[in-house]
Amino acid sequence: MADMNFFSFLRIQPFVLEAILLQGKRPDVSKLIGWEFKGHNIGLLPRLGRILKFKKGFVSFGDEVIGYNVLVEQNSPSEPWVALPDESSPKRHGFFKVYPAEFSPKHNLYPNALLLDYSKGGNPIWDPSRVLRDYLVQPFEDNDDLYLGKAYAEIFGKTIFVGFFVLERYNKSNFKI
Amino acid sequence: MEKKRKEKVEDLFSSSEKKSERRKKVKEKQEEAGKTEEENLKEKKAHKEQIAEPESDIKPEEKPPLVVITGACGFIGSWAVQIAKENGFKVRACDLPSAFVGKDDLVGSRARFPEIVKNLADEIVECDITSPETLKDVFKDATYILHIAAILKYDVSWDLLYKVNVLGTKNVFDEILRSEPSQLKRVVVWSTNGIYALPKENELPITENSLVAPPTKYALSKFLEERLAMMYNRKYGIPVTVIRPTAVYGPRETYMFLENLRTFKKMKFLAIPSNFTFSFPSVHAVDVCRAALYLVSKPEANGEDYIINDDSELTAIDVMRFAAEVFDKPFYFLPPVPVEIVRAGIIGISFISEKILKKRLIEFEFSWMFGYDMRYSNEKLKSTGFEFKYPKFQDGMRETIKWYEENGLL
Repeated sequence: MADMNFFSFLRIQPFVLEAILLQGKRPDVSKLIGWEFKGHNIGLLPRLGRILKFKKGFVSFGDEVIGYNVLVEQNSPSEPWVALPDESSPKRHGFFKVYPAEFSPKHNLYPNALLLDYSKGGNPIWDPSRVLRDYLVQPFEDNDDLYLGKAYAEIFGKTIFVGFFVLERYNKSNFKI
Repeated sequence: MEKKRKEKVEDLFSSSEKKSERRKKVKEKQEEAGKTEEENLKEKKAHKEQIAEPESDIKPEEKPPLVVITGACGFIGSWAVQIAKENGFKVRACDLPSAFVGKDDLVGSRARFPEIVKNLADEIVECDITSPETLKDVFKDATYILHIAAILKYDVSWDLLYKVNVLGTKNVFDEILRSEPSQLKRVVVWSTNGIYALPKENELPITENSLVAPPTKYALSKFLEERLAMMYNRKYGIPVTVIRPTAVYGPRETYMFLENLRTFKKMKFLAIPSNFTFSFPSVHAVDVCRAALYLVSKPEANGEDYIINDDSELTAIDVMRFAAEVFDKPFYFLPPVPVEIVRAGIIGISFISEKILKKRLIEFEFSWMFGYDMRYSNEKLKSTGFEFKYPKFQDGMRETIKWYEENGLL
């Protein structure tokens, strides 16, 4: 039977992605920890900024779950996700705290989602990633390898839509904070 | 053991009681409408003569198996009832209580055919797939279930699409599980060709295995519906076949094709840019229902999906030329225009009309699909031995136009 995969999300209109986000379920964080996921931004802004491919990883830190981004080569989506500056010492940046969106007093647009809160990830004050707030859902209950996200930026108290992104389980990671 | 047997007998009793209740209900309704039994029979006979189809190639079993049809009063549902009856099946027609009220209504997306269905079906069941309590015993004794009930619209809220098409289907399968119809051989789930990604040139023709990327919320809801059905197939062993018809036309269709034909008929001449060679998929409603009832008897179709598309392989130019011929209008080619520009224009117009002026010209989400080469393969279906009654769009559409004219719609 035909099914949706990582590449399906790159071909879907925003109004359909929104519907998928609304019906998705909150990811089980225990299925995220210790893994890195290949990611692809969807939308005009990331396309203009020429940052389409990335990786996201998740680690436990005491009682909390912290996530991070990995810079990767901006090659075609059909090619492998290659970490920069090199695979053995990838640049991890844009750290975020992971918790259910319904617990956030301000960023609870999608209570069925996890919130990836970059303001609580311990990033330096000058790091622009601190403005990001991502929602993350698992579109299909029986597939915990595939996730859909929606990114917002909080600037001067206003929440601005940045774009959607898709994640797919890619590699295990021993990274520790 | 004894207790189980007793329960079974009680079950059977309550089932037949319910059936007679149902029949009583229909009879009361007919009496309310001031018709005698004799008048009803006469009407029924006249109606059958009017819509009679030549004998089909589908061979019914000796004892007529029961087909339960959801969404029976709609355009496709009413055809499913008719084709099933013509092929010797016993039919239990299910739809919303409101769908069975009054006369056949041919208006747009509200089109309903209660008279046709009440005349043909053996049993009428009023139920609502969004209310599980109304589905109790609906699938009891069913050999086949054709699950057609759905919202087919591009400009309705996601909440409604999800509630009816996805959660409604979940309710249907939960009830099937609950009632455990031991003789159930197949559930056919009606999906859509629209679940696939808008194709690039190197991705044609679209087959069952093409990339799934629903371009509209309606298509997404149908994809989630079929995915859910297949989950019940894998997890609980309910035999399921998914069908994905392309653009369905035929008598009683008054939502999409009729509007376009009316526009064509009003025009002094018909013209189209000479580069509009993108495909226009189509399939006759009769063939969709025949295919569904054909596949139920194929063991190899269990757990499988089938695109239901005729052999026409028409382009937009072919369709326009056909319309010009049918309505006796001059036909001209216009200079080529980039399809992408026309599409952007249509998206813009539909956005302004639907989202700002709140008037429906072209449904916004539907407009995104304009100009894509939607060429679908029907090889998988044909490999089962199925033969189309209307392999060519032109033949089926000529009959359909005649029906529109006879019913004062065109």
